[in-house]
This record gives sequence, structure tokens and C-alpha cells, in this order.
Amino acid sequence: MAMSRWIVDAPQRLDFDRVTELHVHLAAGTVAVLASDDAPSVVITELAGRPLQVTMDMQEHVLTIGYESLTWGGLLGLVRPRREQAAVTVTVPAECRSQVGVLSASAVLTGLRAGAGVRSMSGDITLDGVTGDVDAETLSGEIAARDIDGAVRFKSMSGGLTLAGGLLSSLAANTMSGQVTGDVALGDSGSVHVSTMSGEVTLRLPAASDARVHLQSTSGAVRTEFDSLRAVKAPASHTVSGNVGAGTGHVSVTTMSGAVTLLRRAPVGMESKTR
Amino acid sequence: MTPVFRHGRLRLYLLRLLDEEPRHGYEVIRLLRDRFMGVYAPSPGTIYPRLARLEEEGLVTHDEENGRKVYRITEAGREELRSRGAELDELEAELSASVSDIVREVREDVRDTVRSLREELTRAAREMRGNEREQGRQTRDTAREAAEAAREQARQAKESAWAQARQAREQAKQARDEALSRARRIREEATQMRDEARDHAAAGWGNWSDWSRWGEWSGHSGRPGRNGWPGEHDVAALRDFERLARDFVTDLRSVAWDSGSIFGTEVVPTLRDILADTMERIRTEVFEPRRDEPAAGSRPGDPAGPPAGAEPPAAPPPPAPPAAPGTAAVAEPGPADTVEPQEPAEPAEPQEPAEPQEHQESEPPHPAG
Repeated sequence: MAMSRWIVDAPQRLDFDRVTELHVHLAAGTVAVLASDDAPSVVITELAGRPLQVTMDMQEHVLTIGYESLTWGGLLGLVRPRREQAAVTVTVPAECRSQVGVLSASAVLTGLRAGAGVRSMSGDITLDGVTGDVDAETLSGEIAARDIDGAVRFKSMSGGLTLAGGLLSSLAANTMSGQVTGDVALGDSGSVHVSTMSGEVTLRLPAASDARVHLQSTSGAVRTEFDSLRAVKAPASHTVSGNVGAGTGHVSVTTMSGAVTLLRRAPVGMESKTR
Repeated sequence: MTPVFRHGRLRLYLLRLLDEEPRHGYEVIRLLRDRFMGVYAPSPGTIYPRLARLEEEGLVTHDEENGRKVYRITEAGREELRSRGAELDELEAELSASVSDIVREVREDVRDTVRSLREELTRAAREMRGNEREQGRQTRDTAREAAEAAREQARQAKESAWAQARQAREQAKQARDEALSRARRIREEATQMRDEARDHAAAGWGNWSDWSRWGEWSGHSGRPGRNGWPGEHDVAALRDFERLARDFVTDLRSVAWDSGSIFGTEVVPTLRDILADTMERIRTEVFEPRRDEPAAGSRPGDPAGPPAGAEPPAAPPPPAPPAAPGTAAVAEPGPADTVEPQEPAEPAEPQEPAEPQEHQESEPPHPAG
């Protein structure tokens, strides 16, 4: 297996012919993954602490950037503060599969069309115009996404998820105290499953959505702007359910103490998507 | 877009691109765009004049390939690049920084979008809550008004019930007074009649056969008290008394149901008061007073006799079921004691003019008894 390895201890730029899969693991600093038609490249502009390790699997075209001990699997196990800091900008083809893991570093991913996987301890993650399956996991980091087109899976302790615009084939969000906020459209038979302990859930769907809806909070308020949904009398919980449109999709929100609000985006009110 | 290239830097960068290999003008533009993630896309109107000027300065030259110009760097151009090597490194750094700027811009832009979305949705949710609160308040207001109206109605109903009850009590009192006076009169008449009868009897048993018709009572007329006389007479009296009590209950019930409207508010307490009064009166005036009253002492039959007179008053008090009690009361005891009963019955009528029928019905007992 042909493997190239670079130990980077100073700002540096590396260019590659082809990358089909990218893994980035950083502690502190920033990481940006940008889709580009240009040749793949890694630009490291700031570096402190241990040197970064860049490896390239020439056969599988897998590019890996990180520290020797900091891998995807063990990322969340490294809780102690680390001195390593780096600013890394990676340009890859849009079709490259990308995984980014950070401790406290902030990450930006734009224009990827093969989805993305992101993990974070406390770092904030920004996704812009990512198409495909997005898998996001964080302890306390915030995840902000604009115009995602695909399936989103989100899991967090206290970190929140915000989806500004986008067409979702599915959203599965599970958080303890993170807020889940979304202004999205549902694809055909799209499904939204959000469950939180105390996190507030606010979703806005187009007025013309098609979904079977079930919103439930044990002690929080449940509200909706969709007239076709009805409050259900149930013991020890606030529940709103019913169908919106033909009810082909599915929207289910369950929280313990969080408030649930399902808003309705008027057909002409698309201004919120673009800004 | 802030200018990516400071003065003279774009010229230097063009030389650098052509130093790598000869390129079409279009290719140069594409490379520049890619270098900036598509954010900076210089127009042909910017690039071609620059290339033309570089050519004028002798730093680049061009060949025609398939009708398109292919630019290549000249030795003078390479010399220029070499002489400005430091500047070129700086430019590379700046361009990287530009990419960082782009990344930063993307991040800021998305965060702004997200922030404004959150604010917007929060506002929308709050407005919805506000509307709900408003609706809730309106609902509550309506409910409160309804409740107040209901309370007002209830109060009015209570007042009218009180008024009715008061009126009923007054009527009852009036009736009672009337009955009392009648009873007194009856008693007096009865006494008078008894005296007359005694006189008659003493005179030669005049009407005695009439008396005997009511039973053995006449035979024992001289005997004191009825304790020792569990005879037919007492049984009849007991039966009549039972019927009286039963009829009273029945009539009371029917009157209450017929008047139905105020049933349930003040009726029961009022009735209880009236009945308590009545019971007290019955006890004191019917069953106990006979020993005290002079009339009672005159004969053994008196014990029953006085009641006959007294009972009518007792019955009338309950204003609701006036007829039944009055009539019955008058009827029963009367016959048992004396012949007069019929008379007492009449006095009862005036008390409850409303129900003469019942009175008549109750009369038969007398003869029967």
C-alpha cells in the first residue's frame, strides 16, 4: 500500500492529484473543507504545539490530516485540553467523502456533494451548501447548517443544531439540552425525528408540506401554526398531532421538558432562506 | 468583494501562472477563480488588457492556436519574477490569507443566517404564544363574564327564592294565625257543644244515640283518659292518624313537584323551619296542651277532642301542601273525640281555600271513622 506521509511543523501547502476521501482531526484552531474544481490541496497557515501529520493513501486516494494520537474513533476520549493548534484549509473535489473531527477547533465545510461527517467536543461546526448525508455529533459545540440537501443525523449533549434552509430527505436529531431549530423543506416521504430532554425544538416547514405530525412534550408547551393539527388530550403530556397535507412524510418531535413549536412558512415567505 | 490584488500584484500573479506553463487567457481566468474558491472571478475585461500590457512590456508573448491566443512568459518576464521573489512569496501568503478570509466570510455568513433565522423563528413562536395568550385571555374573559352572569342569575334566583320563601313564611304565619284563631273558635264551639250535649245527656240522654253511633266512646264518656281504652275507637284514630301523616307526606311531595321551579334552593331549609314550627305547635298545642287547657280537662274524650281543634292549625302552617294536612288533621281527631269534627273541618277550608277538593276528600274519614 503506497502511503505518503508528511510531518508538518511550519505553515505549508501540499497539493495532490486526486482525493476521494478526507479525514481531518484537529484539536484547537480552525479547519475548512472547501469543495473546489481545482486540484486538491492542503494549506496549513498556523501551527502551534506538536507537528501535524498528513498522510496520503495513493491507492485509495484517502487524505488524512491530524495528529498521531488523535483519530476519528478516539476523538471524544481526549478530553484534556491540548496545546496543539492549527489552521488548516483543505480543498477537495465536491464528490470527496469528508470526515472532520475537532476538539475545540471550529470547522467550516462548504459545497460538498457527498455528504459529511463531523464530530466535535466544543468546537462549532458550520456547514454550507452540503449535499448528501450529514452526520453530526457534538458534546457542546453548536452546529449551524445552511441549505443542506439530504439526510441529517444529529446527536449532542448540550450543543444545538440549526438548519437554515435546505431540503431534507430525513432529519434524526437527538440531544439532551441542545436546541434544535430548523427552517427546512421535507422531501417526498421525508421524515423528521427529533427527541430532546430539555432542548427546545422550533421547526418551520412550508405550508404545503406533506407529513403525519406528532409533537409531544411531557412538561413543555407544544404549539403549531398548522391549523390541521390538533391537541390531543393525553395524561401527563402535551401532544399535538395530525396530518399536514396528504401526510406522506413524517414529523415526530418528542421532548421531556422542552417547548416544541412547529411553524408554518407561507408559500411566498421564502425570504428567510436567502440572506 | 474587496480587491484581492493590491496594485501590481495581479500583474505579478499572471506572470507566475504563465511561468508554470503557457496558457489561454480563458485558462488564466479559470485558475484565478479556482484559487479563490469561485468567490473571486476576474472578468475577461480585466485580464485580457493586463495580458496585452504585459506583452507590450515584452514580459509575455503569444501564439495563435486554433484561433485562440496562448500566452507564454518571456525571459524578461522570468527575470521580473526572480527580481520580485520576495514580493511573490508575500503574495502567496496573502492569497492564502484571502482563502482564510473566504472561509471566515462563509462562516460569518452562515452564522449570521443562522442567528437571524433563530431570531425570526423565536419571534414567530413568541407571536404565536402571544396570540394564544390573547385568545386565552379572551376565552377567560368570556368565561368570567359568563360566570358573573351566572352568579348574578344565581343571586337573583336566590333573592327571589328568599322573597318567595319569605312570602311563603308570611303566608304560612298568616294561615297559622288564622288557623289558630279558627281552632280557638272551634274549640270554644266544641266546648260549648259538649257542654250542651252534657246538658242534654244530663237532661235525659237526648242525642245519645248519635253519640253511640261513633262507638263505645259514649259509654265511657264519664271515664278519665283514654289510656285504658285500646278499643276500636283508638284503633280507628290510630289508622286515621297514620293516613293523615301519609297523606301529608304525599301532598307535600306533589305540591313540591308541581311547583318545581324553585326546588333545590331554599325550599328544604324553609320547609324544615316551617315543619319544625309546625311540629312544635302540634306538640304543644295538640298533644300536650290538653292537660293545661281547661277544655281538655272536662272529659276523657277531651284529649282527642282538643287535638281535633288544634290540628287544623298545625296542618296549615306548611304553606306548600296546605290542603292535605289541614283537612286530614281536622278530620281525624275530630271524629274520634266528638261529633263536632265536621265543624272543625270547615274552618280548615278557609285556611287553604286553594284546595277544597282535598278537604272534601278528607271529610269522608269522619263519617267512616
